Amino acid sequence: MVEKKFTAGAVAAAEAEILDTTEGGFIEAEGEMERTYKVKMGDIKESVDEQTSKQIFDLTLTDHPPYNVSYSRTGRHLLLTGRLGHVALMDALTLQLKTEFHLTHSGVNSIRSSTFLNNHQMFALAEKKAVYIYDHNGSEIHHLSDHVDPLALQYLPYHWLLASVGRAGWLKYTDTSTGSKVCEFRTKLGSCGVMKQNNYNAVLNLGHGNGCVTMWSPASSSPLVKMMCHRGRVTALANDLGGNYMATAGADKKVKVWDLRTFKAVHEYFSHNDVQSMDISQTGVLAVGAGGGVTFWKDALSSKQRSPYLSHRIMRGGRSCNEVRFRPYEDVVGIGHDGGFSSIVVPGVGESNFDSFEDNIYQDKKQRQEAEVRSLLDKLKPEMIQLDPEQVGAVERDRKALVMEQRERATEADGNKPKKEKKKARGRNKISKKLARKHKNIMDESKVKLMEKRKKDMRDKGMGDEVMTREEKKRKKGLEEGGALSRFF
Amino acid sequence: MKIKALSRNVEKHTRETSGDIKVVSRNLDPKYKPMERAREYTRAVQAAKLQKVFAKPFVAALEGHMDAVSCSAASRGHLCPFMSGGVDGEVRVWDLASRKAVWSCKTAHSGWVKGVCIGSDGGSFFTAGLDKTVKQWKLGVGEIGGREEKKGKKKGKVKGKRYEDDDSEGESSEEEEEEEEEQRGMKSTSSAEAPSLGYGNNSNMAPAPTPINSWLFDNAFKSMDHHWKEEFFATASDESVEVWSEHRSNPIQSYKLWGNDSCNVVRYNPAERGLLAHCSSDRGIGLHDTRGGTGLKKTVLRMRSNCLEWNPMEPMNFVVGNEDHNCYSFDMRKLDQPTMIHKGHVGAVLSIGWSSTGREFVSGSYDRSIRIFQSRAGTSRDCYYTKRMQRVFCVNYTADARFVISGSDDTNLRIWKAKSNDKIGQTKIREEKSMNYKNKLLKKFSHMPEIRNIVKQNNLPKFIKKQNNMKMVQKEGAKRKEGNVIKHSKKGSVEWSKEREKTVVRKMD
Repeated sequence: MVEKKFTAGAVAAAEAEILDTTEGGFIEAEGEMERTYKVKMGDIKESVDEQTSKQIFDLTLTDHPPYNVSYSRTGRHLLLTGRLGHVALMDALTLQLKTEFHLTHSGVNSIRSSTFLNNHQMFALAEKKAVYIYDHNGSEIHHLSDHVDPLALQYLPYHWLLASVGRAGWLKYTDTSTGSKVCEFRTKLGSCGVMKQNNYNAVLNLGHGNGCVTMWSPASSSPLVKMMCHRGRVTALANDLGGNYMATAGADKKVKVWDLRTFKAVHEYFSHNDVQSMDISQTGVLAVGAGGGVTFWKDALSSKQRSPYLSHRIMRGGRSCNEVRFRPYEDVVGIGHDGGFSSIVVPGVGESNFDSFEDNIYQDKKQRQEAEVRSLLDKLKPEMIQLDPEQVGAVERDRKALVMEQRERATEADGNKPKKEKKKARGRNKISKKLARKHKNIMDESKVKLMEKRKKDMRDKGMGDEVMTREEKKRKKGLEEGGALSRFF
Repeated sequence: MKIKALSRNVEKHTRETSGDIKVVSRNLDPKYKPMERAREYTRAVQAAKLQKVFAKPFVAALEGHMDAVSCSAASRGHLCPFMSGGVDGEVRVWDLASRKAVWSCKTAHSGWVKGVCIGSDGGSFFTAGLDKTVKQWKLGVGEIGGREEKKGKKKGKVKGKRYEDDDSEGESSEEEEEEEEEQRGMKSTSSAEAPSLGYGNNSNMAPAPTPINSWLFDNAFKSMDHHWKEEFFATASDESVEVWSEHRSNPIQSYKLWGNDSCNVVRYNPAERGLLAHCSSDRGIGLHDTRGGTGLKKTVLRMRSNCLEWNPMEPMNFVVGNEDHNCYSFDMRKLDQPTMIHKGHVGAVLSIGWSSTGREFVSGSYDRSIRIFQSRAGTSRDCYYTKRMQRVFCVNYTADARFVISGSDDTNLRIWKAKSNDKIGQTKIREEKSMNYKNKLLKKFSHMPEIRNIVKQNNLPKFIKKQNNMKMVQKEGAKRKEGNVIKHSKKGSVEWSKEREKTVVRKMD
């Protein structure tokens, strides 16, 4: 029955491929000696069409570095924010500047993170004091004073939630449709500046200073999952669109790929520099921004790769990458760095076919307005965020069994740690006693020798048959006494 | 090295002029539709709420009777004609499309009209009264609703009328026409087409119309029903049930029932040729075959049944409305216990009407409300009432199963939608698609408590609510008592009684 369903699903999926009318990009090595990572941006610029080649450019902005990058959901708009208070909103398709302004708030102007809200009409900036929301003309329309000293921002489009986490380690959710605070949680893991959402289930993944990654939902005041990922600070984090994989980078110079179905690391890579930023494209290409370069890894999630798909060095040596972002539905990557902003083309990273009812990249004003209203009608409740989004509207399983299973999984993930011994009184807590207890069941060489010697001694004394272990004795005794089942032995 | 980058042609994805339709492209990969189930659930909740927002079941009231409406009948073959009889002996024929009386006779009977039914050919109808007479009246089907006669005698001759194609082929075409007619609503009334005995102009009324036939009997009639296909009709009078032929002046058969009790309802089975069901004042429900001349089966309930109707699609099943506020579904092959008890009313059930689909029936009660039950559900799907509606004596479904008509003590007939949130009038394709989608979602998530609560929510008048609460207290008390009896009896000697087994008091063959 289930197999039939799978086959029917596969056939339907194959039939639906007829709707995919646009072809995606690619780089293919033709000879055995050719390597795709040897391709330079200049080569790509020469071989792609004119429209795409326009997307390869550098903006030198040295007054307010380093720069953060974010794209709107449709990939049509680009937001550049310089740490020292420069904000620019651009149309990524026509490359026209829409709005540009400098922050004039009192004190040190410092933008830590930025995100678009439901569409490009509004965006939020994490500034030193609080989170501010601006409209596309650059006017400040909201000041979320609850979000104090935020370091990272995420917007959950289907729930209309804006989340921030900051230096105090508080994770705060605000409903952007009503403006009210939904909930706030203390992570208890100190300052946190790494936060990414899992598109599959809208769970927020936070990377902490002690190497932990925690996953949060507004439904629970404790993290849904807490996993130790690195020996050292988690520096960057990225989720794939399907929700199966997560990539983390730590101060231990490692990049790890995690399978979120089993919560186990599947691959591990080494990076010479501290990874500043990571992102996973719609087609599953992993971008790693470390030091002055960005490397792109194709199929790095499902299998271990030996070499990158492409690598790019940010021009004017000595610049270090700050943030790398894939532009949705295009083969374009935006890199914010110390010297400004670079836009490059990486063939094969963007989804070629978009869905007009989901993210319409060519939507006009009317469509945008309608989409906004529809999205508001379909707004999900914050409590619906959970690890398995298919669980909404389903029948709950037996609670006891569920808890047991979770515990089992937790102990398994902990790697079967030995139990801590209880404190005992009356001299039994001595180290020697503890050791003796610990080694009680261990059969080592000396113990075996001792036992043999004892057996031999007993036999010599003429108690040959009596030489039995305690258990053997017990069993014999039971037989003699004539237990109910003794006649079967 | 082969290099190619993704490049889209903007013209291909955008429309040329503002008059063109918008270009749509699809990607059905589920990873671009995250949390689809949660979104569907949210839409389903919305759909359930909208269903309640648009629940406006009342369509119109048909005024005209001078006294309480005691009985009514819908035409079996046509959608527009509807007959009703009053307590004062008045009989009226209504055109449901224009919602007006097209025919009336003030002195049809000198007393209660106790039964109205349509003839098997659809061209005439019968009334029976307490004045010991049955009368047959001509039903001008062709004139009602601006359509021709069913037999199609005039087919093609009358050019000016809207419905020249006759609908004798099947139900589906009828339904379409009915919808169209409902859409036209009040506008379709053409006074020229209505006979001169129209509603409201009492002063101008022509001399009282004369019946085609009339039959006189010794006893007052309590109920009557016409055979579904043949030219026979049955009446229930004080002491017996009579079977009449349309062409004889005396009853061709007369049955004394078990114990000579008076009979208050008699109904022909829609499928079996000579099978009659009746309810009698000794609280019994009986079946008998006119060909055999004897009773087949009889079962006695705890209280008297006021009405009985056969399911038109499953003709072995029937429902009775009982004095104890419940409706009971019975399978005629097994009268030991009801197949289902339909609860909800807080007054005696006086009338029942089946939907032509056989899936639902409507019941009218002494508690001034009507309820719609699904044929296999124990509780009602919906309950309709108005401030002004008094005790409901008769309820009927229209032949297309879209409307319910109730006649009550306040001299009015009321038209209700069978589905309270149904849209009357033309629907656009997009609207219909959206409605279908919503219905599908509602079905998918119907098990969810949030949605179930919204769908179930039904505000009832204070009177009914109070009565309901009282019944609940009584029920709990009885249950507690029974529990105590069981607790204090020898183990296994007393068991919980079953509600359905308790219904039938006695069974006779």
